[in-house]
This record gives sequence, structure tokens and C-alpha cells, in this order.
Amino acid sequence: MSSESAYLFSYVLLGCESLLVAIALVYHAKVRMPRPAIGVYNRADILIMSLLVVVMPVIYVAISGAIVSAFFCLICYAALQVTIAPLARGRASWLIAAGLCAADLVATEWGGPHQALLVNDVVIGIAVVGAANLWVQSGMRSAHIAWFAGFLAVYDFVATSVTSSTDDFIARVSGIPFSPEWVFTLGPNPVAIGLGDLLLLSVFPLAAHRSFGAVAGIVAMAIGTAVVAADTVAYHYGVLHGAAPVLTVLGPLVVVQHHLWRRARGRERTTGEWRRNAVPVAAGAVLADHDIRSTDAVPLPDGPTGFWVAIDGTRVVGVAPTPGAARRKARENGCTAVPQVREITAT
Amino acid sequence: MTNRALRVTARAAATDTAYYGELFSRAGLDPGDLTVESLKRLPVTTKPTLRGRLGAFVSSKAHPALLATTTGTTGMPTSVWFSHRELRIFSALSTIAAVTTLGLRGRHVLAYAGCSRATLALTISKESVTRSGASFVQLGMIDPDICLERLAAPLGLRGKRPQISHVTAPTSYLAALVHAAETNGWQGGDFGLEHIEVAGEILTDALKARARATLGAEVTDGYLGTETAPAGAAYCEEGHLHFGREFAHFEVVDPFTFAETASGEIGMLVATPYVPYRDCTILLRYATGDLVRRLGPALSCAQGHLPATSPILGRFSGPLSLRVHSRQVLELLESEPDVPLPARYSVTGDADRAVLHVLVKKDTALTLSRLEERAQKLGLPVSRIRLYGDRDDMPPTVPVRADLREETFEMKGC
Repeated sequence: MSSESAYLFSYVLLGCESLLVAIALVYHAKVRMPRPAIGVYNRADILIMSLLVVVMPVIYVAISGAIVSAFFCLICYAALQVTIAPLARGRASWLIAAGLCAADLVATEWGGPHQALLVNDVVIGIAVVGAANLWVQSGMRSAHIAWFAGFLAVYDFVATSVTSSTDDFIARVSGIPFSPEWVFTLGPNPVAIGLGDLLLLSVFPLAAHRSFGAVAGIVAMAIGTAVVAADTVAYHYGVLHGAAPVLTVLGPLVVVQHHLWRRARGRERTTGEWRRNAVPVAAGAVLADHDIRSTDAVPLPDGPTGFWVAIDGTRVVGVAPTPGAARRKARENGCTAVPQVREITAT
Repeated sequence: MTNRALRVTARAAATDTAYYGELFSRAGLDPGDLTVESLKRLPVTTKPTLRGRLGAFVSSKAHPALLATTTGTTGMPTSVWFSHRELRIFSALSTIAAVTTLGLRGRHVLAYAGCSRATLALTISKESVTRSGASFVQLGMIDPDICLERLAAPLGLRGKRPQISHVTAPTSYLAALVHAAETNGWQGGDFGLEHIEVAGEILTDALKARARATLGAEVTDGYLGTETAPAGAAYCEEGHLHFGREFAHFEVVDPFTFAETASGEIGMLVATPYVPYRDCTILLRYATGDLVRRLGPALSCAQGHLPATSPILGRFSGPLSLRVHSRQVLELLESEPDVPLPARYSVTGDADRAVLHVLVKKDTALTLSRLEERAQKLGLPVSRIRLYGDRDDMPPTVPVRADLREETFEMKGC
């Protein structure tokens, strides 16, 4: 394949990645997945996932390709079934998932190389949409993903740039059925992106959407796409060669986004609040001691005794006969935060 | 499971209560052999029967602790005795619901804006909210303007939301709050509300939308009654009312003959709350008076495996209530800006020539034409709509819980 064709396909990959995340977001907004009997994700689950990310590639390299394929087949089947189940009830989801797995197996073992890539890319794409949605709809929080992304940023750099771990893993899974990657071209240096990259690119926009609102989800999607685009352009102009650690760039951006949204919104919405379409909570959602103490230090203006003063930080932002009316007056005066209120008493 | 629960309940009712001991003898039924089918031969228990002979429904083995009285919007209030044990069970179940369904946590503050005489709701709400770690504020059903002021007031409490975050209120009182907020220029941003839960009356899509716009929070409701507690029902995403099987057996019957209603037909809900969740006032086939449409067995929603009906359509009060449903009337009136909330209306005439009488802010031809046009779209079977600018000129209107207003000193200017 000519280098021009490879460049073209790298832009096709960029488009497909954007489409995949968009589909995952639409699925997230429209489809309610059956809740697995595994409870809600917590920090221990993230720790276990991080350990598996380190250990499993080493094991895959050590065992035969057939066993690796069988293992990925089981994972793909479960992911496909759980993704399709809300859309095709009853046995249909089991049959469709089985059909897709069979197609992947047949295309890889007996089909042409292009058919194998196409079918495997479809299977992996559906599995990514399902797995990302399952994680987020099962309660995986933005904070969990930020921790995980921070870990992956370091791991991906070590595995890809410092050691040969990623290269060894890619060599083991390339060409086998259910290969955990999106591959768009054939040859020794194919245009491809790993399953881990696709998962983080998809799962954080969903969690941001659920936890902080639609704008946060769209921003996360745009930032993820920008990272892949920058990667693509860097290849095009010869800045990058071979496997690049996408997560090393994306991970810190996920962490930063999480902290900025957390600061702006006060806290994450729960899945229940998101389902009820509750608005993301305002800044300063829970009062701290210093909020109360700083208000107490503000000198009150002269005014009629018994009136109430609304104070935002150290500013008086409203005066009214009742505490609620003072809060409302603050809003009418352009104060967006919830002020503290104090009564003007005779001294 | 249903047959076993029914037998346990029926045995307790027959041996421990005077009313059902006599009723089983007369009906020739053995409570130990009761099934879902044979239960249908047992006469239903009506509200007037329960009101008139309350002591005869109380188990001889129970220790009555609390007499809970309904608000009585359908006429005379009905009372039910509850034991300490029942109250503990209801509190535990309600706490689970508060944490899982409402999402209450320690940072939240819930205001109860219901009638202080709705004893059971108030007692259980306070218990469950505080057990969940959240804080409880008893507002009562005070003047809506004062209630809005209290909801907007910053709390200044460390570790808590800056303002009241949740509200529980009767639906008609929420309508009164929405009306007051719209009239006096309150906006959603003035409040810190995350969720409003209403109960006891019909919640329409129109009121939900207006509450979301003015108070800034989603509104949800369910189905629960004092007499049938802790059994209730919840709405699914498709709007069906689903009844859990754990706490009671529900039937839909013809309100005149009490025979089972066919799928697609309108009937009255009849409930048999199970022992051991109920051990004090035991009720079998209690006629709730609430009208629903029975749905077919094949439902595609996520709760499709649970029995379901349409949303509550209204209260049974005669043949006209089966034809002109309160839900349709309220959906019409609560979407009309010229109708003050809570909507005051009455329906007179007969099933074929029903007349809807409505209190409006100003009786104009434009308001009437809007209402008539929308009534036609909704398929409301009324032959005429009459508007009134003065409530005294109207036929008696349907009572609402918001009428049970509590006075405060603030209202008297003290």
C-alpha cells in the first residue's frame, strides 16, 4: 500500500473513531441497559482493572493464539449480547451476538484479509459501544475514569515507548479472530488503533455526559477526537513512526477535564439523577465551614432592622424583608451563586 | 407465592378480626384454601364499611399504636390503626426507597409540604429521611407564597446543600406552588431543588412541565395509600403503573358489580395488603375507589414482568366518573394559563351530556375557545364547557388536598 493510501486510511480511522463515540453517546442517551448483578463500580474495581491491564498482555504473549482468541471470543460475545439486548429482546440478542462472533471467526479463518478486517472492526466497534455504556450505566463515575486514565497514561508510555510490551502484544493478537483492535489496512505497519484507546475515547464522554451534563460529554468527545486527529497529522508529516502511546496524551486531558467539571458543577450526578434529567448541581453545592465564617466577617449595611442581607463571598448582593426574597434579589442583581443570608439586627 | 400470601393473610383476617371471621362464614370460603380465583368470591370491603366498623378490622393479636387518618378529599376521612411493628417496617422500606429511588444522601435537605394531619405520611417521611442521613424540614401546607420563600431561603448549614434540595407535597399543593411562583416571578434559579415528589392526587404532564420551568426540578409520583400501605405501585418509563407482588395483591374490578374487569376496560383498584407486613388493621379486597384501565399481559417496558395498569384516571363517584376522567380534565386545565392552579372544576349532567364547569382568571371567549379546542384534541367527552370568574357561582367543585391549608402567624402579619 502506498503511503498516500495509508494517510487516507488514517483519516478514515479518525472519522470512524468520531462516529463510534457519537454512536456510544446516542446509545447512552436513548438506551437503558439491563443492570448487571455486579453492584456499582468502586475504587477497588478500578485498582483491579489497572492490575489486569498490566498483567494480561504479558499472559497473552505467553499463551497460544488459540487460547487468546477463545478468551476474546467469550468477552466479545458477552459485550455484543449485552449491547444488543435492549434493542432486540429475548433470544434474538443471543442469536445476533452468536452470529456476529461466528462471522468474525469464519472471516478471519476462511475469508479474505479485507473481509476479516471489516467484520472484526464491526464486532469490536459494537463491543466498545456496549462495554463503555455498561460501565457508565452501572455507576462507573467520572472520578473512577480519571484515576484509570491517569494510570493508563503512565502505563501506555512505559509499555509503548520504554518497553516492547505493546509491540509484543500487537504481534500476538494481529490476525487472530476477535483481535482487540481496529485495523484499517494490511501490511507490516497498518493503520490501527487499540481496543484500550477506543474504550477510553468512548467511556469518558459518556461518564462526563452522565455526571456533568451534555456539554461536558460533547467537550470530552471533541478533545478525544482532537487527540486522535493530532496523532493522525503527526503521522502524516512524519513526526511519529510506529506505535504511539495515545493514552499518554489522552489520560492527562481526561484528568484535567474531570477536575474542571467537578469544580464547576460541585459534584457528579448519580445515574439515577441523570435518568431523572436532574440539572447538574451548581458550584459550592455543599457548604463548608469557611463559607459560613467568611460571611460572618462581612460588615452589614445600614438598613431596616429585620431585613435580610444576601452575601456572596465578601459582597452584599441583595437586601430584602425575608431570607428567600434576599436570595432572589441576589439573583436579580446578577449573582449566580447561592449567597449566604444574615438578618439586620438592632445593635 | 400469591396464593400462599393470600392464605396467610386470609387466615389472620378470619381468626383475628371480627369482620372477616363473620364474612368468611357467610361466603362459605375456607381461608386456608384461598386462591387468587376463589378470592374473587369474597365481597369487597368498601370505605364506608371500614369507617363504620374500624374496630372490627383490627386484629385481636395486635397492639395498635397509631391511628392514621386519610385527608378525606373524597368525603369523610378514613382511619386505620397501625402497630409499632408495622410502623418500623414501613420506615425501613421507605428508607430504602429514599436512598435508592430519591437518591437521598447526607448532603440533602427534604421539606415535607404536606398536610400535617396526614399522620402516616408525615411520620414515615420524617423517619426515612433522617435514617438516610438527610435532614428533614416540616413545612406543612402553608400559604404557597410563604412556602416558596422558605424553599428559596439559603440554609447556611455546613455539609449540606445551600438550600432545600427535595420536596414532598400533595399534587394539588404543588399546583398551588407553581401558580404562586408564576404569578410572583419566581424562577427555577431561585431554588436549589433537585427533585419534587408528589403523591395522593393525579400528576399531569402539563403540571410536570410547568413545575420544571418555574421550580427548576423534575417531578415524580407513584401510587400509595394509607389504607393499603406499604403496598404501592410505580410508573415505568412508558407510563404504565406497575404493582409489585411482594406486599399486596391488586385486582381491577367493575365498580358496580365488583366482577373482574377485562383487558382494556376501566375498573376500580381493589387491594389485599399481605400479612406479615400488615398485622393490625387487616383488609381483604379493599376497594380503593381509584379508577384505572386494565392493560394486556404483554408489555414491552422494562417492568413488563410486573402486573400493570394505566395511570390512575380518577376517583369513582358514579357513572359520570367512568366517562369523564379527572386525569383528562386536569391535563386540559393545567395546560391552560388562564386557569388558576390548583384547577377548580366540576362535572355535571349525565354520561352523554356532561358539562365541565371551570374557574378561570377572567371569563373570555378566547380562553373558552382554547379550552374547547384542546378538549376536542384530548378526546374529552364533554358536550359543553362553562367558565366562571367567581367560585361561588359554580356548582360544588372537586375537593383537593391543597384546600387543607394550615395557617401561620406570618399570614396574620405578626
